[in-house]
Amino acid sequence: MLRTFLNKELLEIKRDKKLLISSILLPFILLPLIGIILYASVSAQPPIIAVINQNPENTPYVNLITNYIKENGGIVVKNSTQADVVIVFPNDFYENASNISRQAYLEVYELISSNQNAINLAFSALRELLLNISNSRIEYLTEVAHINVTPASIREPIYVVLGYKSVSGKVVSAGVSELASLARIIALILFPSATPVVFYLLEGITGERERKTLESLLATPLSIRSFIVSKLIVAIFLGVFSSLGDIIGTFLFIFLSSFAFNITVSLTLPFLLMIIVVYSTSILLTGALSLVFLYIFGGSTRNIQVINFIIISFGMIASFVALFINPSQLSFPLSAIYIIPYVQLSLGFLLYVFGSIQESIFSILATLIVSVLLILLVSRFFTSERLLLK
Amino acid sequence: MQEEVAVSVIHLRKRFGKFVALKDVSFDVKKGEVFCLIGPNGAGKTTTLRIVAGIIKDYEGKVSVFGLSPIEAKNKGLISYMPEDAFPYERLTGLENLEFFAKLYSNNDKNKVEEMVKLGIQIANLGDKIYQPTSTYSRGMKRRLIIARTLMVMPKLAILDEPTSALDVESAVRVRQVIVDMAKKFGITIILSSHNMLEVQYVCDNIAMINDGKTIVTGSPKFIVESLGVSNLEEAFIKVVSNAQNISQ
Repeated sequence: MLRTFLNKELLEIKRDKKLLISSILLPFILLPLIGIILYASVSAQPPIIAVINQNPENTPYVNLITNYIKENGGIVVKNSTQADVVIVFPNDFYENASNISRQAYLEVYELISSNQNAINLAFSALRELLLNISNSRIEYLTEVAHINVTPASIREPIYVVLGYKSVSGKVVSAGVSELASLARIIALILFPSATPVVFYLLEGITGERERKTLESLLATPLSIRSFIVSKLIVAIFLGVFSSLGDIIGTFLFIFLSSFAFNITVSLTLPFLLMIIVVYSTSILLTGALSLVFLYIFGGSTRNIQVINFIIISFGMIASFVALFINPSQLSFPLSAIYIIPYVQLSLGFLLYVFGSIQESIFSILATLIVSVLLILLVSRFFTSERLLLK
Repeated sequence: MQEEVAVSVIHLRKRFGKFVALKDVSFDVKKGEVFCLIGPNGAGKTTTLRIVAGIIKDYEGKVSVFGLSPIEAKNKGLISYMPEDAFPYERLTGLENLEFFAKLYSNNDKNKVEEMVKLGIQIANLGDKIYQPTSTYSRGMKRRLIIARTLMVMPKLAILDEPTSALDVESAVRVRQVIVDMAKKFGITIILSSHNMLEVQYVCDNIAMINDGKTIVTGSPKFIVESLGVSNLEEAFIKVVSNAQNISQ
């Protein structure tokens, strides 16, 4: 009987072109589109830096800066109106820079909300100029003092070696650190996209009532549990398809945006599997929560909006938690956020990336078990009267 | 010899929160008869039918369907119910709608499904339209399909809530004939509700008049007309309802 009902559901979905397009096709298009737009916006907008020289004697310094900018993909202009950053070499720059007892100054103007790459490039170029001048001064001083030192040993007496460690204390590569940042972004994007299951499930159940097909169905030998489980399977099926679009779309987004921001991210198979596990669990949890709230509130259009809002809010909390909170440093009472739906999943995901594998598995497994129990429990309490009249 | 009782409803009472929908409804339906529930809007006909169909299970009083509780009878596939404002699945064709319900009632037995669908096609009488999605059907055509879907499964008890509403005269006459035939030929017990007294007089063997959640009178149309000293069921209905209102005032 479950199979008969499932076949009917799938046949209906197959013929619902709008639903198929919105749930399966759109995620494949939207997220890569964001990546493409990001890539296009960066590549189509090279950093433009204006260098204004108020004294021809400054020219050697000006040339040093302009060459550096050009070599690193920037465009140097003389007109400040088009530029993201404006560097002004004042009249007395040469005089001050070439005198060891004076401090030269430069004026740098940043266009509000300008291209961040332009700002970074301008400051890199200025650092190059600074190094050049300070090196000359150190060389002059060592010559006068008759001592044997390198400019680097004076300018940077401490050399910092930067390394990364996981929460378990293991030394890891810089790639793992980048993966952790990536995990936060993935959690931010992926959790809200599990929420379409709410719509598929609630619409599937209450839609039967609205389309006036429910009452006839409830009078057949089909059990309430078979009815609800079928609707849940179909909602999860659609949710997974929609999620596959999101997952593939997310990776395309990462792939394209890594070009745009010049970041190298190496994705491992366990990391990819972890995303799938977390995502599948979040879909199951969404189904369980939808059923619980449907049971409590009932299935009117207004109540469905309320349920949608509550579940999306939980998803958003989990996204922000994933973005800002370090799960390995959570202590009581803040650790109580683990009871918020989805939060334990997003923190479990981060714990995995941070190296706390056992805690991660526990957190995700606990969510999985609670979700299944909720589904079994709630589907037992639903009655035909409640489905039809509440 | 006493005729076998198919459905027995004794002192049925149902409340939804503070609202009491049924106060005291009692009637017996004999096996193979067409039994009509009549009463004004809000009298409690649909609630009674839903309880007998096994959809509403929390109630006071006693209801049995072929010696079983309505839920047990429903789960065994003995009951087929057509709600007042039922619609078919609009993305499925008429044929697919029939097949889906036939599978639910036959546990996917291929031969039974074939038999049921064949009968369903015959009852619906939709011609080639049966192969088209029901979204293309008129309201009357949808109604015919749903009546066919309800009767084709050969239930022991068919419950039809206002079966001929939204049908044109010709279709309504045809459906009434099908109802009578199904009861006579196959021994299906049928309970239906209707506001059309002509239909009730033509189709029903026995009647229960319900008003304000209470059974006012039961019996055959002829018995009710004669005992109330009126010329037809419509007058009987008005007399019974207005008497009940006067008593309650």
